[in-house]
Amino acid sequence: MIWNSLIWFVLIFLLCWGIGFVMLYRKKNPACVPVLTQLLPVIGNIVLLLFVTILWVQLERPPMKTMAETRVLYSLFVSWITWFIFFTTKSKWMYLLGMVMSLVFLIVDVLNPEYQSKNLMPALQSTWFIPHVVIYMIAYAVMAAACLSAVKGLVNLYKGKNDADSDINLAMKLVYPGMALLTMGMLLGAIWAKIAWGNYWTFDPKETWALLTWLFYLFTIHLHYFCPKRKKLLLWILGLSFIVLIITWMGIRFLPSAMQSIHVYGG
Amino acid sequence: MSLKRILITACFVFGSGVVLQMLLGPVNVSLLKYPVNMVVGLQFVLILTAMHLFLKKTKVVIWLSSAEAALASVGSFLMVIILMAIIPQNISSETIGAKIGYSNIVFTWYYALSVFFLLTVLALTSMRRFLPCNFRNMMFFLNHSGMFIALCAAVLGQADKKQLYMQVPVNTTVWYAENEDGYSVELPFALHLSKFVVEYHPRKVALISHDGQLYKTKGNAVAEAVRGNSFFIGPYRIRVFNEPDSLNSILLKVSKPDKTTMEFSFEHLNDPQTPLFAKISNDTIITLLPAEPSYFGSEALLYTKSGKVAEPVTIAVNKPLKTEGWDVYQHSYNNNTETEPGYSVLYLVYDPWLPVVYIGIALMLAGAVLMLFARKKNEIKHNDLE
Repeated sequence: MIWNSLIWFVLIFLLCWGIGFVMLYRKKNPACVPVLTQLLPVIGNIVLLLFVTILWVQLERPPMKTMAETRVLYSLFVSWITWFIFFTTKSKWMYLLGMVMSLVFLIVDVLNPEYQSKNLMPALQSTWFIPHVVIYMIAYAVMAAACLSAVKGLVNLYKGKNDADSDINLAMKLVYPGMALLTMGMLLGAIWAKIAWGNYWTFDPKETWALLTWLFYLFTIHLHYFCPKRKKLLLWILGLSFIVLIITWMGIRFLPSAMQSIHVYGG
Repeated sequence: MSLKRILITACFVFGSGVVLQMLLGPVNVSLLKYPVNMVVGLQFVLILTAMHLFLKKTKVVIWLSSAEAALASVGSFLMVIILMAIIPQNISSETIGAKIGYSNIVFTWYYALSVFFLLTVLALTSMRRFLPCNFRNMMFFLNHSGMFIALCAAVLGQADKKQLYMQVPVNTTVWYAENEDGYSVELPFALHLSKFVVEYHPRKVALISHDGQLYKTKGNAVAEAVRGNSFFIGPYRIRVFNEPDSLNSILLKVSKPDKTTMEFSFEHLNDPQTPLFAKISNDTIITLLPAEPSYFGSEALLYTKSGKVAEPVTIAVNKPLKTEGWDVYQHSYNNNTETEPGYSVLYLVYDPWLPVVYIGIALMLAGAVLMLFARKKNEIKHNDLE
């Protein structure tokens, strides 16, 4: 099972992104370096994509069932999205933070090997399963990039530099499509829930937290739209929204309010 | 535009809800049964439309479709959902909490008021941005009106929704189901369960330590008991032999670190859901875990009042049956025929407002697709609602 070889894929990923990063920060660079710094992460991303693909084939089901599987998927999307932002904006910050964030989730998986079962329970055997999870994971990755940009903006503001505008602009450019994806993920989930369990919305703890995350971003969007000058508040709320998102994704099982949730990951 | 006013408004809506809750107790949703919900819904929409058409210039309507109201309404709803997210819900208790309703927030006045405020703001802003018809207005209208329709229909339709459980033994015809209080309700259709089908994934082998926990090892402590499989769990090499296509006959050969081999034969097992154990050393047990179902479904004959006679139907997870306005779901089953006859438990839902909710969801989805492709303008015309 390829899952046991995850560490090698992660090492290649780290090597590609790491070398690219060192090249990016070296002062004297030969002419080929800009191309390499853009190309190396792509190779790392393709390696990760290869891992997910092989895992999918070997498991004979989408690798989206367990928490560990969603983490790999998430790292894959974060690395592609942050690479794309780096490619278009040349932001070294985004490169570094995107690399660190992908690696953190991959390393958690390497350190906590889970048993990978091929079994998929009947409720998950649905055409809605893949779009629901994939859309959510892309949304989470987009929001992670937005959060990284917000963190950078906050650092700038607190350093006394008054140039958080470009960070806010980038963050909000990401939050709008991210919000669209969160909406789609939530509504597709509702339709699937109706077909599989009989109710489109039951205020199951995971649903409540997903709604809470959605409302936080909804509030952020409206705040940005109407009070663009409240920069600090906006950036803080963006950060807070992402914390709520992470709790929704990973923290639910630790909450007393979620003891009866049906959204318990397998594995 | 003041953040202080937004906060005060949100707190005012929430606080009024709490006061009403203390005075009146939980909201009696069952009062909103058809036709009351229809009348209330139509009146609500008519009043909002009239406000938009004839009172557009008044301060109240201008404020209700302003930025402040938008943020305050999202804010007050957010407060309620934060409470729901951190306090365990659906717990009945006799404490003060029961009066404030914090463990059943969907039936509280603060939930109702915040939803009402949100719906009002959504409707008035949607109507304001309906025209002129351009890309941004269309996106805005789809998102806001979609949410209004879905939320409004979900809230108003709650009282009309019926949920029943139907237990159908094999070779029996049943035309009634039980509600949550245990009362039987006659249905406009009947189901005769011809056969109940369960298919299982292969069983799994696991090692368990003397403390009852999974055997601690760097690799996996669980593996699939598929014929021909050979794997290590810790220092033990395990090989699996069984008859083709038989879940109930498994032979395990376990090679221990001291090179000795033990054989364990688990045969003629009628119930794939019973775990099986055997001792392989003083502190280690080998176990065959219960098989997980890969499919379960009821094969039944359907009879309806509208004239269907013995129509063969299959009801399985993710494949509900739709008949006579009801959705019928495979809920659970008892396949252990040794103790009692096998039966299938079906979950029945009647939700006449569902199509309206789906219209709202469809509009929101369309709005989300547009939002995905919308190019964000760098210079936003701020407060263009004000």
